[in-house]
Amino acid sequence: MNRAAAVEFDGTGKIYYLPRLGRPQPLEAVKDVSFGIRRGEILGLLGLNGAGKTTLMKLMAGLLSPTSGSVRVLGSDPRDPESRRRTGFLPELPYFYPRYRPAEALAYYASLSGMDRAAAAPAVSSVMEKVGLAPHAGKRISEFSKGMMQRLGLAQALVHGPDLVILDEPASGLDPIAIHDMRVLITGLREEGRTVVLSSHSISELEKVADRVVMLSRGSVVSCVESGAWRGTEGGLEKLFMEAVR
Amino acid sequence: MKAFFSPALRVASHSLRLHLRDRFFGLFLLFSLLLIYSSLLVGVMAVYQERRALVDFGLALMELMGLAFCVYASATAVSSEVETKTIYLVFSRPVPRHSYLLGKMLAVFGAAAVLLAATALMHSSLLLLRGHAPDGPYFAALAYSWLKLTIISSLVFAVSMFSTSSLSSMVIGFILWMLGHFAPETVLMAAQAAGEGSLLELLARLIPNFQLFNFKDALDVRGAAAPPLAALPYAAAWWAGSYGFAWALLRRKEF
Repeated sequence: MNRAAAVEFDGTGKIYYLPRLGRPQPLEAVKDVSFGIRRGEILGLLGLNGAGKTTLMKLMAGLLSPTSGSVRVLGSDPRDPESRRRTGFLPELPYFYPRYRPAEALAYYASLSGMDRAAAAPAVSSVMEKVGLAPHAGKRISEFSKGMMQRLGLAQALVHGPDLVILDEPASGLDPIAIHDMRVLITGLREEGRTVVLSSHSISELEKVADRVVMLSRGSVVSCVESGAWRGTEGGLEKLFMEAVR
Repeated sequence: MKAFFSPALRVASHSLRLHLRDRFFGLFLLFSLLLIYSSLLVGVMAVYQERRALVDFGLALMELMGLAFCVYASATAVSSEVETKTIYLVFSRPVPRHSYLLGKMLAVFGAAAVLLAATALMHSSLLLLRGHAPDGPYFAALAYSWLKLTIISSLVFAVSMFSTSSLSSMVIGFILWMLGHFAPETVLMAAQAAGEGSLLELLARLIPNFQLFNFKDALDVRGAAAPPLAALPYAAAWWAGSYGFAWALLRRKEF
């Protein structure tokens, strides 16, 4: 295990078994993936639909177990409670109980991360301020727009102060101003020393925030590029991506 | 132990609050209260048996509405979190699946207790109004109804872990409830049809015997006023068995 690595995939594979009459049909979502994520970097996962981005994120969050190979997160198994305590996960299009107010939802998730009430209350206020939800504290979640839901999703991933933040399509469905705010937030996380992994369909978004991008196609890593590579190339990350996946 | 119970209690208190704020809970409660109030008519028609009619009808209504709520809440407790993906936000945190399941079950048990308590308050008030003060056996009958509801809830939880939809879990739950009221007869018929020790008889024995908990039937029977204490460990065995089965399925699930 590389001590500088926040996450390490080593020959990781994941097969889903789709229910079919008689015999379940295997679907290989991730094939023999090996790469590491350095502590304190922003790593982007880029790929077409079905490339395996979400599966890799779920493996990191400990929601799935690899069929082959291994995954290590912050030096331990991602299903280990200590590793989960230090990880924050934002799924794509998160949902929250509509009758709750944002602080109630965040207090619940903070408590599930092992925070007691005394520690959770200031953490909730601080994270609401950070993601820009403080002015909407009095509203019910049912009154929230998509952008506000996404901010709340990010807040629940950050409320317990994780070292590793996994964000699945954080800019999905957001308007340009919300996308800008999200970008500022994500780069701010790196400045705080946190490791950020994010997936996106938007090449331009990853180009702006990521230090490194791992490109995936049909469950395999086809390329891994540092930010210097696309910044010094005409056509940028898009050209590199097209070359890699075609 | 703390690592097991602490997240379970957090999930339970959160889920209980959700149940109590749920529109369906409000509707079940409102409908129960209306039905109990309208049961005054039955009492009037019963003339000299007014107390018995009011008590029997009221307790049966409370149990039926509790059943409808428990089956609905248990069948949707986990599946709705899977559908909305809120389960990702829970399982990506240090919450063991067995604690999560226990928390969800305790929340349904708690909500059933609140529903029974609220309807019993109204029912007792009506009984008092008609000059029939509720006594100890009345409250014991309520407690046994709650035990029945907790058993059917645990069973529906277990069914919902392998069932393909919430609706099918609910249907199976209602079928189990009905069969459970004829459990000894079902076992006898299975033994007669397929022979003693047959697979059919074994399957029939996997139906809980709800007759054990029908203390309300004995309320007006002289000499049968002692609550059946053997029903308590019997209920505990069903909770444990259903919980164990549900956990064995949930721990293997991938979302």
